[in-house]
Amino acid sequence: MLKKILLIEDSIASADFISKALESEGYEISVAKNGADGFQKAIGNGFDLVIIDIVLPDINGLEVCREIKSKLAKNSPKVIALTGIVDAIDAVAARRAGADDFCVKTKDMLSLIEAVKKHI
Amino acid sequence: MIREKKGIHLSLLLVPAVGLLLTAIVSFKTYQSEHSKVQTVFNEASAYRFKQIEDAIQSSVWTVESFSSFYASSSSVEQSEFNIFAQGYFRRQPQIFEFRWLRRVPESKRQEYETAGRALGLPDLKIKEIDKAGNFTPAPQKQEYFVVDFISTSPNSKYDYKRIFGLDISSIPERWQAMERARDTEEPAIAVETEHYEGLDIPSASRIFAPIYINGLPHNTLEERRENLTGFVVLLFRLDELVGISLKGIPAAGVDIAFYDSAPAGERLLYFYPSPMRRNPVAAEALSPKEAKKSSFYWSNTLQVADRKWTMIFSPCPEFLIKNRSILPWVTFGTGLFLTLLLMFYLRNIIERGKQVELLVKRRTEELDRANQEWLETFNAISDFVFILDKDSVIIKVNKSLLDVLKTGERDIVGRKCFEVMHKKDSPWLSCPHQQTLKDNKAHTEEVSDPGLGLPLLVSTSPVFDERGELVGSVHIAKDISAIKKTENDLIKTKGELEIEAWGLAKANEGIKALYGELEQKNQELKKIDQLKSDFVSIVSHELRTPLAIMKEGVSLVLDKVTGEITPKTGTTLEMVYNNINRLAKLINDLLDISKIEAGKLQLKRTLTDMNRLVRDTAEKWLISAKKKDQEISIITGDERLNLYIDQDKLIQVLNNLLSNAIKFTPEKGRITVQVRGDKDEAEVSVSDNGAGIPGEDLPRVFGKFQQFDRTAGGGAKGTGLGLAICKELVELHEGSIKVESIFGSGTKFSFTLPKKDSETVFKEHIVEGIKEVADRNSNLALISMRILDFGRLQKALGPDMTHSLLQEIEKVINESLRRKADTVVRDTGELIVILFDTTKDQAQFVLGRIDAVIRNFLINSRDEAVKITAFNYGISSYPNEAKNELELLDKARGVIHV
Repeated sequence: MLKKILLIEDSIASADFISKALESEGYEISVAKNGADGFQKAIGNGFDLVIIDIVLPDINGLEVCREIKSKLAKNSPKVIALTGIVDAIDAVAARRAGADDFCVKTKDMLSLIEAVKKHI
Repeated sequence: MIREKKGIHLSLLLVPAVGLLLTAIVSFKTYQSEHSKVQTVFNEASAYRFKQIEDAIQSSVWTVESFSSFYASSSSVEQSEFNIFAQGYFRRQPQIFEFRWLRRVPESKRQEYETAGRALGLPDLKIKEIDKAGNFTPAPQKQEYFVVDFISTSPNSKYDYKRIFGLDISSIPERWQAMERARDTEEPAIAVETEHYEGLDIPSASRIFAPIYINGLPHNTLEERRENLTGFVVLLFRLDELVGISLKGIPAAGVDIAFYDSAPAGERLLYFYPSPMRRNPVAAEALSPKEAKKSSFYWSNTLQVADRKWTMIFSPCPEFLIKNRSILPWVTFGTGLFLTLLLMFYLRNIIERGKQVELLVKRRTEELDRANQEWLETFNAISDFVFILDKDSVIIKVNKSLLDVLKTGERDIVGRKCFEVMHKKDSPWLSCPHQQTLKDNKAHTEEVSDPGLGLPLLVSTSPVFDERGELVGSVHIAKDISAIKKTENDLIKTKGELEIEAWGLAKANEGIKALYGELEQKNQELKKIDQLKSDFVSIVSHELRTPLAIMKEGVSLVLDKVTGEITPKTGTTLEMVYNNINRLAKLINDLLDISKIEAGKLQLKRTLTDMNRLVRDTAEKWLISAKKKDQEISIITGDERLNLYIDQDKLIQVLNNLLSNAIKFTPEKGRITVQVRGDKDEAEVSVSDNGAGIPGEDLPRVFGKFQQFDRTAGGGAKGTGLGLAICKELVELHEGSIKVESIFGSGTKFSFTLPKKDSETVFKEHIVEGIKEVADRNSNLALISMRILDFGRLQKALGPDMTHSLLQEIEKVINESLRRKADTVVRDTGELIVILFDTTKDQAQFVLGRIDAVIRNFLINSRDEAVKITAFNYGISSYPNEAKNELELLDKARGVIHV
């Protein structure tokens, strides 16, 4: 069975690019355009992994991460926080929010794909 | 304690007292024993001597007696017979001096005797007497006379005996007494004379008189003896001689001998024999019997000599005492004294030691007390809860901390079982470390979190053994670890935090790496594009130049009317075309320059250059152009040389650019000033004018590419807009800087500075660049160092300018002789280096050979004598075989050896 990944990302271009890259790696991808939608999808659909862009239009991505983690507790999917700007403080905050990994967006999205492979 | 001390002092006094006493006694005893030994020796020597003397005296007496017998057996004795008889004795008894026959002559027969004597050949014979002086006087009338009738003398005697024939011996009282005694007792009698008679100087002359009675007549009664006496035989001996002979052959022992006659009236000294051992026997005096008895050291005996009793007193002379002196008593005394002192010293040491020990014991006791006290204090000061338990878990001792925390007293706890007190249970706690220690005799540590205790505790128990090694209990230490626990929890928390932060950093790092990778990629792409652009510019420029040259040539031909007449209008048009072709050509050149510089392909060729001269020469070339516009150019430079290592061509290009700009943008009759200034660090060149100036807002863009401003150009072609950009690049390639100052409407000043580099740095830079170049293609590089010998002398002879020219000439000559890629640098200290690229050392040797030949040739042809005799020092080094860097290369080529 294909591993299910939820991508919470407001930029359509990014979302498309990431989706395609991950699909080509053999994952099943769902996309949510904002935090609230993402949270709803995440708690209901048994994802193996959730990728959250830190910067979302409605809620902070890390907040979404924290909500998911606290709501699902042990059954929570793995979470990768995604950022366009590298910042150690953000990374620490992501960890505190329960993220399992912290990845920077690059053009090739190689580091993200590697992280995904590592976690599921 | 005090009593003991007194005892010690007493013994310290007693011991030497007893020691001294014992020493005294023992030495005295030794003295006595030694003394008695000496006395024995003395006594033996005395007794032996006594016997010898007694024998000699006795023989004398017997001799006289034998004469009596001789007379008794014959009716009359003739002198000849007497002589024969006597001579035998002289031989046997050398102490005897003479024998005399004393005839008794009654008064009645005096006449007859005297007459008979005369008849015998003594004409003046008369009975005579003698006084002490030895004078003879006729004897007064007496009842009877005892006259010397004949004498037999020892061969030793030298005395004229004839004189005393007829001498009445009885006239001498001592003799007469002896004679009377002999006559009356019928026994020999002895007389020892201490007075001298007869002129004989004989000390202790002893005469033994033996009475001779008329043969056949009785001499039983005194009367008969007196009546029938016919005379005396007299034996004379010398007591000194006798003693000497008797003691002959006996080694001297130091014994003095005094002879005393025990006369009825008292002791009379007969003779004193001082021991030959005496140093001064003459001065010696005899010891009287009384004195002898007083002194303890003497020996005496009595001897019967004829009718007399003699006492011989033997006493030691000082020499005897000295000889027989014994040092043993002194040795004994000394030893005793020494031993006593030793004992005292030893005793004192023992006492001292005792005191020290006592002190030590006291100190140790105090220390022990203190240690005990300290231990107790420490025990109580321990903030941990300590108690000592026995094998049955009964509390034996407990410290204050524990009592405090339990809010109880020692009495309430000691003697009770620990689990009752601590855990309020009736059996030991499950994993009680004390119980474990009891089982295995080892130390144990447990964390105890009994809620009943209220505190988390770390309990350690250590076994306690008695001296036989039997376990008797344990020391039980409980530590309040609530603080530690808290810290531990905090630490765990902090650790988590730190881990999160570390994780965050690591992730950020990963992210940066990823981004950097991306950036790098982009950069590469950009570089590629830049390269493409440079290539494009270069290709295009080259490709453009050729057609332009053809166009320019064509237009020139038309303008010069080589192709035929042209109309003025055509001429004007073509002029314009011609100008624009020129402008285009310049633009292309500038573009080529700038692209070369930007591509990093432009390498400076620095040579030692006089900046003043360079600026002057360059500026002077512009004087004509300036004159056309009626402009004035002032050139201000110093007189001295301003030597810099620069690329001459490039700097001329910069100067030309600035000067052409100045002339272009300065109105007619304007002023242009070119100035060079130098200090020890840098040189500054400025070109200023009093032209239009540049508006303030444009100033920052002056050195940008393709920048042109609304400056009033004094006619002529417009610039390419690249000139100043090129100037900036070229100055910066020299590690200098360029700037512009301008007041709009009143003038502009461009100035650039160039750092002065010392020649050594320039050398090194050249070599470094060389190495970089050959290292890229794994090739070799050789360095030739040439140094003019005695450069100072040459410089003095030629002056600085000529020297500089000579150096440049030499450099030029060398450069012309080189057929391979090389770089030469000359320095104003007379040193020249040649960097030979892709050259091995062996090849460099050939090159050097050629250089040497060329230089020799050049120098010999010089007209200057100082130059002719110039000589060089050469050295070669090679990279990478001999040296790995520029310093090593230089050192090696210069022959500098680093130890």
